[in-house]
Amino acid sequence: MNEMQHFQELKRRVLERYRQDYPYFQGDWKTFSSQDILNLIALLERECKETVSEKWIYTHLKPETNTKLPRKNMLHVLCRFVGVSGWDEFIFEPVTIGSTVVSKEETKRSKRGYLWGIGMGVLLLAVAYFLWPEKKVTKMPPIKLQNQYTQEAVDSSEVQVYDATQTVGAQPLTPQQFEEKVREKPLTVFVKSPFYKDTIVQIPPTSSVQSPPVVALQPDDYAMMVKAFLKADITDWQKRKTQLQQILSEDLEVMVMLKGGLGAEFYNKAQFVQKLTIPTPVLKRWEIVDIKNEPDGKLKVIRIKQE
Amino acid sequence: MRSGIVYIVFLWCASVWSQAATESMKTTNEQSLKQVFAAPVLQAYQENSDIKIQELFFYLQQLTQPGLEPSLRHEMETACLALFVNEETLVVDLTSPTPTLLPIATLLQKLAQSAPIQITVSERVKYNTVTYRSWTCGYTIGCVQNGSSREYAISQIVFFQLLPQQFGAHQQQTYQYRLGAMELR
Repeated sequence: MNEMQHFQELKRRVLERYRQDYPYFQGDWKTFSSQDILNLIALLERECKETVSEKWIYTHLKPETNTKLPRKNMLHVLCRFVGVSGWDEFIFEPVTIGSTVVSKEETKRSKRGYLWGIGMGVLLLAVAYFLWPEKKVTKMPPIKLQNQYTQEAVDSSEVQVYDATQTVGAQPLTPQQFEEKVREKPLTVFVKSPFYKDTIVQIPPTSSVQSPPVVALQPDDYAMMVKAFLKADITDWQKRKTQLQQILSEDLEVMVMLKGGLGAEFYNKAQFVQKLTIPTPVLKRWEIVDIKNEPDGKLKVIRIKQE
Repeated sequence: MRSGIVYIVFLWCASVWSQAATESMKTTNEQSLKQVFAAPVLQAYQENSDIKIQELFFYLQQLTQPGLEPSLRHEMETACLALFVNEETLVVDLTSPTPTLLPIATLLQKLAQSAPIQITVSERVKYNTVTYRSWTCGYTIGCVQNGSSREYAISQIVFFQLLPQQFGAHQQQTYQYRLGAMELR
């Protein structure tokens, strides 16, 4: 394996590690959304106390193939993220017997060592097989969320899943709670997202299915438009302004929650349209967390989290 | 006649009492930003006001870009003015090599004729000057124009007060930011 192949392997391991925190993400780097990128940055900050820029992820992780290896300090960060001490350990390949000159005695000794090792391995496997609780074996994600029209995977961080049998006011299920609940029994869940219509669906138990059941979510077009406008640049500002006037309710109330939830700032329709018509870099730090619609679908309440 | 005098004295007393009450309310309010908000909350609002300053200079930089279509310029100028208390609020003249102040509306006119300016804003310097409806913050603006660079050290008032805000048919009081006058440090 050359260094570039090692880097591809590292990218694969980073995605695997990402799925531990965001199990609903089932795509690859190609489908890794901007929200996933923000999630990954936050994860890296939390786990490795290092800051990685969006641009760096777009340059080095998003592309299917890489022509250039990233700087070593960045490779170290990713290695630590996947549980390896650093790049040097990650690319380290022990020298195989076939590539070295060894004496007959050494060969014999190493053969004995191998046999002993294999024997111990088999024994450990047998012990693990009988002692490991059967329910922990499954690794398959319980559901696959996708856009009903585009069939694209839905960003898991934009979705909250509730146990529909619980009373009103219940907390959304964590990925672990969800996996626990659907392991053996079917579960009716209520899927909620600011960008998709509320959906109630019954999930079959994980133990009874071969592949994760697909839950198709119907997008809320107006909410999707506002989400896209938050990432837009100045081009097409007139079209954007007209569209915003059409999709926002006259009574619109936008609440921007400050970092850490320590306060909030309010915008009415005119102020919000102005803000999105000429987007400033601050909009890239806005994340829509909740939306309420008028009966005709126009957006009436938008709750935004500011990073 | 006597009742007339009594009436006048009564009105005068009422006026004095009303004035005193207003002053008292103002005095009470003078500490209110620190009293109304817990220290970390007020700090969060103060930090958030940096965004208004960043937005201001983002608009100002865009307004110096050549070939800006008039309708877009108008849109940006409106967004820019909406950040301020009023059009007469004094700001630093970014087009001038010597640090001077002028009303924001005048600066917007001058920017239309200006060569492109690359603007950077430094980290905020915190001042402990919180009044009942404002605070002062300091920062340094870096400008690069026609290959030459200059810096302006600024202190600026940021107003943060309860104001009526219209949401369609209903109105409510919300805390809102307005940028006040800049001063040269």
